[in-house]
Amino acid sequence: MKMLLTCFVIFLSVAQCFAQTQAQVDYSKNIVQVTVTFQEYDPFLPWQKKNTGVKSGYGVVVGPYEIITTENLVRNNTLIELRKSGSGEKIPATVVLADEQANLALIKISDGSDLQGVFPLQLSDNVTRNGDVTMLQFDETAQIQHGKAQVVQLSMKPLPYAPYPTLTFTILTDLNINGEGSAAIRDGKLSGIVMSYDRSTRTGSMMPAITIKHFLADVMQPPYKGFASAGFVWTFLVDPAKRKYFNVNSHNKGILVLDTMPGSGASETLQSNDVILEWDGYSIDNLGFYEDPDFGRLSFIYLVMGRRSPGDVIPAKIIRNGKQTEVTVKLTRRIDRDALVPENITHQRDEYIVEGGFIIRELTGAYLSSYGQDWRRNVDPRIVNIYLTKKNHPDKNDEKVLILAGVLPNPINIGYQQFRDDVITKINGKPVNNITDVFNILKKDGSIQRVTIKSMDVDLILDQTMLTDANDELAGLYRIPNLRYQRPLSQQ
Amino acid sequence: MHRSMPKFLFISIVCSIIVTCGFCQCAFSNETSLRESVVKIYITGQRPDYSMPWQSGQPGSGSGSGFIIEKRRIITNAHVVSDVRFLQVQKDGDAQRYPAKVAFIGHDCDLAVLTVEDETFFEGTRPIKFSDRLPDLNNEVTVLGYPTGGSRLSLTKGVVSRIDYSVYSHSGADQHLVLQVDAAINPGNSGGPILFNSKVVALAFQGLMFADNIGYGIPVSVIKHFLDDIADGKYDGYPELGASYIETTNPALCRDLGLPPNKTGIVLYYLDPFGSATGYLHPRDVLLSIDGYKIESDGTVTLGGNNVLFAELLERKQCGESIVFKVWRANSEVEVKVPLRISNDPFAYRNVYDKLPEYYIFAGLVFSPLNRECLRAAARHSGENNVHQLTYFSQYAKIDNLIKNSDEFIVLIKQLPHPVNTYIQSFLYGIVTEVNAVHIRNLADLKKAMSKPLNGFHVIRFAGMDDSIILDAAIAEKSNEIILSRYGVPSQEFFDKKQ
Repeated sequence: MKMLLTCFVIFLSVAQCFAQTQAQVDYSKNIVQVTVTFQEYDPFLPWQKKNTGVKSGYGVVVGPYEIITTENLVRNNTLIELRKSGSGEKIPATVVLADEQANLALIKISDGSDLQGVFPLQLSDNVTRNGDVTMLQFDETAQIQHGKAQVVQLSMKPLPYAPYPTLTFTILTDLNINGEGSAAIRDGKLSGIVMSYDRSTRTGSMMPAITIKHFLADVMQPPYKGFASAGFVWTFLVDPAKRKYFNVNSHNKGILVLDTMPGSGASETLQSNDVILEWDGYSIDNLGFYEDPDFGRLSFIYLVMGRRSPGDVIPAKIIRNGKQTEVTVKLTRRIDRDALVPENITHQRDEYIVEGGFIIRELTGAYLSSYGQDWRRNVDPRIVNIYLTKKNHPDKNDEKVLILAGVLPNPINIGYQQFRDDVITKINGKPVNNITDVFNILKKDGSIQRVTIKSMDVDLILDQTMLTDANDELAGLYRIPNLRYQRPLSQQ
Repeated sequence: MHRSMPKFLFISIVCSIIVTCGFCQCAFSNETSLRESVVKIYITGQRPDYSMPWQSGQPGSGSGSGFIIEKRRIITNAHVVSDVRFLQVQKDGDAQRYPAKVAFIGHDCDLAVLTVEDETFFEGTRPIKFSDRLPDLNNEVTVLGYPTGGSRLSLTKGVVSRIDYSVYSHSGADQHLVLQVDAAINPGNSGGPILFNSKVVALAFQGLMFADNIGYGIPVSVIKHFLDDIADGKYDGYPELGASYIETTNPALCRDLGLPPNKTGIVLYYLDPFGSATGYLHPRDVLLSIDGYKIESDGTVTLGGNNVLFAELLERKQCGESIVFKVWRANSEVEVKVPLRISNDPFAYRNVYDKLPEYYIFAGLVFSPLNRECLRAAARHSGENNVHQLTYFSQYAKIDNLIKNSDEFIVLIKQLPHPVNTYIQSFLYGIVTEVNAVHIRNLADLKKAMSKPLNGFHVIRFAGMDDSIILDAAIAEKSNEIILSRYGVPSQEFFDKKQ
């Protein structure tokens, strides 16, 4: 692996020589089509996977064996295949590293395979808010297709289909973009890759090459650090009454800290109702923007995500209790699993326990959204409310929302079959904060004897004399290969 | 799923009258003597505008049916005469309409009694008698009334298809017995009698959308409960036991409760603080029998050869009476007498009628107690987190003890835009918890707290939100008059004195 990375660095610099400056150059050797067969776990039946699907997009060659593409494209892949322009051959590839918070994935050609005749494309540093770029993709016959696109905006926006903000070009293009990851070229270099495209408005979101560079540099120096998060929730501070109340006199400056995330660096040095006037040497306006020396007016989140890395310590000028003061904030990477309700947008395999037909698991954003577009209306309002009002703020470390997701009918659970999406507070009479607690109880007690539901003074009891047979029967009838799944420690 | 017959018929539904005509010829002779006693009710009603609680919505006119009962009274549906502004009654074949008054109204059972001041109205009529018992399935019944499709009395026939519990859509929250018939029941039939052997067995009241030949009537048992209730001059409504239970069909659960194998019942897991049972019954109590009737493990009792839900026995009780349970508690059997009291639960979000909404306006922020109309208005903004919080509070108020510091939930329902409140959009439909460091239990608290700003500011905090509204007290004070006059609000507040 170390060898490979070294080669990779060299290749990146060699690539300079190949840099094409002409507009009419042939880019067919710089991009590949990426076809992904994927399969998600079914949140309602967490022991099994849903039907397979296939999606296709593009990757940009960045090393001898390495290709960069979007994380969304390769998510839950069971097979990744690469295809060169003008070729019918399909070459298998695997994921080196994928980061759903950045929507980037580095993939490489599987050992024993080769992808001859491709060349890395140089990444551009140019992040201009406007101007034209050339879009590249394949047509139906795998011939390279060019199109023009106009960059109309550069801003921090949430990723398509995920709540994480990232530096994004908005582009307007005549080319009907037919896959994620398609490349945009400016001055012969990679300007960015497309993350999403809306046919009806002909606009797309594109990730700038500068973010890809940041990602690649990080991947090349393991361990991967990821993108930093500020670790606090904030809001605008435009309201004059509020500005007066918090004693903010400087004109148009300052944002208000509402809450800090447990476990973050911000939680150690920032407090709610702090007003941040300056961050990392930059003045922050009352809508959270700063003047970036390279890119112009940008949300201050870029100062955290783009210009810094986890572990960096940032100076900040704040107003606390009406007085101006200075603090430092240590940046951390926000791990999805730190949240009270993790999003699990990547649909990683959920931990679960099926005991006496009770399906016990933790609440996730992915579980809620599996109820379909109207989940906010259709799912039990208690768990919806937990997700909407406090998903990022567990009261205790490692606290999760443990739910009785449903009951698979069996004689052992007669009388309990109406329970669905109820919050579990105790198992076998012992308080539980998360599913790990349940696994620990199981290690000691061997089985689940009683389940306590929130606000219910009667426990649900499982007949222990029936339990083994019931579990066997359930596993057979409902075809459950494993009645319990606990994530291996290495993945926790 | 259920829909009540629209009170105000803006649109005439063209329905098939041909089908029923065939039956009419032979049937009418039996029921014809009753035709004088089935009256048409003309009403003009007006609902308050809950999004602008200081004023009312458009008045609307409509019609329904009713029939004359003893003591020169007319009985009809509550939904026919709710929010009434003007009311008239008319007999079949009589040109004259008589002004009438609502004497009693029971929104939980969708029934109302009207009186007519002019005694001449009752000349030549005779009260229709109620049947002593419910009809059986397949008994042929006749429905009289003034449904859409014509102006004169209409008669339809059918059989009793089902007797069951169902939600009464007028209140949207109460369940009582209903009589399902396959006779056509259409808008305007509401309040008309359903007759078996020339006696009233039910009162037509609601239909079912997306289904054929399903009409519902309020059975005579519910009507009698209502008439008995008002005999003392006021309507108390149904008593609520307020006990949540699960079945004890699971043997492991029974063993855990220490319930001997020869005993059956239901186990309580939550007692509503506003119900009659609170303080008398407790969680983990197993109800073995109710007024001497043995309760099965699924909650049914055997009554007249039928298995019905034990609540049926509660249905027959009036407030002020009591009900006796045999209870399995702490491994022994005890007898518990629960006195039934009038339910006065501010956290039961029924549809509200005949009441003006309470509100208080400060600096263009309109605050109102949470009610069903507020939820309905909020549902139109379903994308907002605050709205989902309202849904949670309305459904879990009691069981999750969200009510522990509240008499009611105060909601910011509207903004009357003015520079003083420009930046409050994200707080709309939020539930107020604290104003100027004072905890808010009710609307009066909020008004009081608004009179005591903190260091020249008003700070309003909301449930589930880290951000607060901050108002400059001096500017807010000055803005009040201007905002009220600019938006045509006659009064800064309305507090219902009766409550």
